[in-house]
Amino acid sequence: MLEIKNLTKYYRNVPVVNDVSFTVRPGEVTGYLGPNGSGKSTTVKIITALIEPSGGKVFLDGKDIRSDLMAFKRRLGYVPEEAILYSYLTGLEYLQLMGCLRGMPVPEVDRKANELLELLSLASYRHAPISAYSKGMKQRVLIASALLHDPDVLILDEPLSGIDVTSALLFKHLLNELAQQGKMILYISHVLEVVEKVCRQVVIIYRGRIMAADSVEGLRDLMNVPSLEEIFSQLVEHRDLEAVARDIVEVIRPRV
Amino acid sequence: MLDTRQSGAANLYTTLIRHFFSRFFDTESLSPQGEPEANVIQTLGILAAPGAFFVLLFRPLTLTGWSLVAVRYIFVSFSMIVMGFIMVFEWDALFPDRRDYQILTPQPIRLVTLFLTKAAALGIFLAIFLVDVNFLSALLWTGVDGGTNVAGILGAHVLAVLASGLFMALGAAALQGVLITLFSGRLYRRVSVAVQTLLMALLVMLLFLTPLLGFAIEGLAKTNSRYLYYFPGFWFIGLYESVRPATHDTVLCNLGQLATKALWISGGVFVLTYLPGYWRHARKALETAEPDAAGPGRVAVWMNAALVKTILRRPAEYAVFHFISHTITRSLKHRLFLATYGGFGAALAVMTMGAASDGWLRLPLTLSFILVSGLRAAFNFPSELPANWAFQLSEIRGAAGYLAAARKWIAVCAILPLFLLLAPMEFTRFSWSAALFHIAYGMTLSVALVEIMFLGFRKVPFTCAHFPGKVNLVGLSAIYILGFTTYSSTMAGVEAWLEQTPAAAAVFFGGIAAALWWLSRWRGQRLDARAALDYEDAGDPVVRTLGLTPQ
Repeated sequence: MLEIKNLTKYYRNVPVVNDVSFTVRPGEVTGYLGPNGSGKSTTVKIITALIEPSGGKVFLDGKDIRSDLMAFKRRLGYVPEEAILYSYLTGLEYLQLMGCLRGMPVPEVDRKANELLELLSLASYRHAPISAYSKGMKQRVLIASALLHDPDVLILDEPLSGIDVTSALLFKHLLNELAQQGKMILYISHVLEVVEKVCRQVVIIYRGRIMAADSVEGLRDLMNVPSLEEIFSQLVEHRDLEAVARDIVEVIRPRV
Repeated sequence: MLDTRQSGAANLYTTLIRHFFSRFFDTESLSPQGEPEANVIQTLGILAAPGAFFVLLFRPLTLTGWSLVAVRYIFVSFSMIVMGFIMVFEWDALFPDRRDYQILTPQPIRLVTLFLTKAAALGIFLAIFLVDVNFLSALLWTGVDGGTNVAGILGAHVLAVLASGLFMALGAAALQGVLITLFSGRLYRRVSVAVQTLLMALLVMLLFLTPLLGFAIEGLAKTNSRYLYYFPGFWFIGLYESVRPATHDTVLCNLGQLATKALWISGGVFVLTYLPGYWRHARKALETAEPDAAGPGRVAVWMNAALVKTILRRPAEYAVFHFISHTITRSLKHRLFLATYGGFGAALAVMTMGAASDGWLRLPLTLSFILVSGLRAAFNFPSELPANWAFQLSEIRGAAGYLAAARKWIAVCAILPLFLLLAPMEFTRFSWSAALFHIAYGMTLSVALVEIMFLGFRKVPFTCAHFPGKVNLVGLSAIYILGFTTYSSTMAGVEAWLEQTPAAAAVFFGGIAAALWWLSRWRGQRLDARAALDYEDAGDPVVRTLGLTPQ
């Protein structure tokens, strides 16, 4: 079980993550939602140990991850928010690099990397540099890289960004399969339809604070609204969006 | 209405020219921090300074004859080399890049407008640099030339330095035009990258050899050496001589004709190849290249397998080893950086061979010192730094394994090829036993040098943020001066002595082996399994104190 307890992060005395606590259980996909700048990615960077928290701790199976970071990293798979990869490497070379860095034997890395590239429809591009890949292709390389070493914990920050419909469908099935295997999955996304379909539990963060944490059904019942989109809208968006849209059209119209 | 349209078109041209001009400073090699505006002023200042410095250095002297020719050569050569550097750094910016096309093509702008504005921006860019590099030196030059005709002195100097710089700029652009005309797609990229790197090394070598070449002109001209006709710098000193004679040497004056022809030819080839090259580039820039179906060749696969079975048994070592190879061969910044060291090494090699009686012994030691120190410096520069999260997240073992990979890479991919390249020279010049001894000695010293230079290095190469201002320049300069001067001469002396004293040689090799073993153990203890790698170089403190307050 991955437990996030009282996580806080200050940037120049401003709390960007404020006393955030939630749990990701084995066999469950936990959705982590929030508007831009709400503190989602900062939380993720703390959980992945890329940055240190100002306060609070992350526990994996009851152990503070910082007490043995390397052991935690061995069990972690991560898809970052932005597809930042070594663009001069080919897709295959990138997966080989990541697999070997994680201590997997070279033949096993080669086999898994090639098979994953094949399954993610990247086989014909495996020897092309990543700089020539589209956004969706880069994202698929990142997904393959996160899964290569069969991690127990998966943290997926906007994994469907730029991905085509077929791959997105495949990914939804993949998430369910991985959850059935007992993986702990934290899924960060803006695509609420997908979250609604694949996540058992949803955590909504706004301005660094958790606004709600429950199952999708629980939140629906609690807030008495039919969809996650409306739950989200009620919790984090206080403007009349239709009026804003009308204002935008008004601004771009020529003025006499 | 017409006025509005004309002013709109003028605005468009001005905007595009300004845009393309600023893009010249927005390249990975020239502006790694991504601050193009600040770099314009910095670069112009840096390039103007050396000319002024040299002319002030020579101003107390009033030069005539061959000494004047030698000093003139420094300025002609400097103008040429700096313009060459600019063209190398701007190699990929001579045509609009993919980003330009992606942003500008959907706009209502004709392709011909893009071409004209890009060409205008290139012309302005080159003109500014040409003037900047030579302005201060030309202004102060009249005191150096022993003549009295100020206008004549100034005119001849300006003509020669501008012509040589222009020739280099046009020549490099023409060379790229020829390459883009002859080759296409992947082959063009490969050849272009090789030419760019080679040019960089050549220019650095020529920069360091400039004084030597300048003072060699007299001897070469008096013997009408064929070398005078091989190198363009000499042609433009001939042009200088034909406009304002200092020696009245006919060989030099004839070279001046060659300079005029070369200038016309390079200009002609540039015009002939730039336009078709531009259209071709424009057509290809937005096309998606077909994926390369072929992976590594059989030799590469075989070599990889051999490495895995022998020296790279740990997967993390294998990963870092290949990461270094890929970065060195594919990152422009690192390639150019190493080419700079290569050019410096080649210049030192020429000087070593020419100056010392034990030059053949010193040559491998000088080259290996430059190679190891160049790689040490290159490893510090990050490549695609934001992508280092991949290393941070996958660091699941102690630092020792990752660091071992960097050392092994230098041994296998740098030291070994260097001595293999030098081997034919050793075996032709010395007996086989002496040649073998020299190679063994050179390689052993190089490995020891790697251990010493990488003592405090706790990074996966190219993955750590680098703050150049934090470098201890005094300490670093001392090491480098010692290395480039004392190291090779002292160690060549030791080599000559060891060659004559087999017992001492055995003690030497045994001693080095023992030291390496001890170092490896010490490092293993120091970097225990829990020691982490550095990804953030500690920068300078934000507030600097002068330390004047009594404690």
